[in-house]
Amino acid sequence: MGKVGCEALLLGPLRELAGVDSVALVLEAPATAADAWEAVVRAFPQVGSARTSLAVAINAAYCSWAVAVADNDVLAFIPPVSGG
Amino acid sequence: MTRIWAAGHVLQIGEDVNNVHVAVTAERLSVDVVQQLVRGDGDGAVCCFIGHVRDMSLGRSVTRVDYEAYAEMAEREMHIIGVRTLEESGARSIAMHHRVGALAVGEVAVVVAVASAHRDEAFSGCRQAIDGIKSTVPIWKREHAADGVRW
Repeated sequence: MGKVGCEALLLGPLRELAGVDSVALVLEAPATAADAWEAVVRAFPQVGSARTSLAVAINAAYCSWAVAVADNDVLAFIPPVSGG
Repeated sequence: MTRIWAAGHVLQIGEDVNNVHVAVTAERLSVDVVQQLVRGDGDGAVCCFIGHVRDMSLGRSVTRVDYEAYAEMAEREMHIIGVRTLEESGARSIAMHHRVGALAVGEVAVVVAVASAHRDEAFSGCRQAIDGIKSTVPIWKREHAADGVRW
């Protein structure tokens, strides 16, 4: 099995909890967006079990947690938005 | 940080595509600029929504609000909202500008302008667009109040 390398953006409140705005992940292939989030939680346990309130995007477009991550993808974990 | 924080100028992504104009910017917003982006000579109606920073939130006195965006995706989502709004409302043109950075009470956080031949399409399109911005565009506000800071 190969590896998948991607970047994960931690946005808004998640950035504040983690203390960083992005993290490079190396995942066992095949990996989904949900697997990437689990890797983030392992690296930054303080982000907690917030996944139920999160959305996920790959390369700046919303997607499902079951979508496969490809090499060099940019994932974003998106807490509830509050613009406007 | 550059990808997450908007650059300090009005970006041109989406400009003049399907009559949809979007920007996430750290510059002070201008209602005049936004409405001039949408109005054409066939438009008898321009409806604007202007969102300001309020001095109260959930019963707390707010002194400042920091807006933070995933700018690249925010503009993309705003463009999607704009295209959908024009399709569904029948309006002709739309512009949406959202501010990021530290805003004082009373400052303008968002401006939406929708132009159409008649008022019904402009009103409904404006409502649809601001509702869309509030539900899916990746922008967050961090409110500063006397008793602390809250997302």
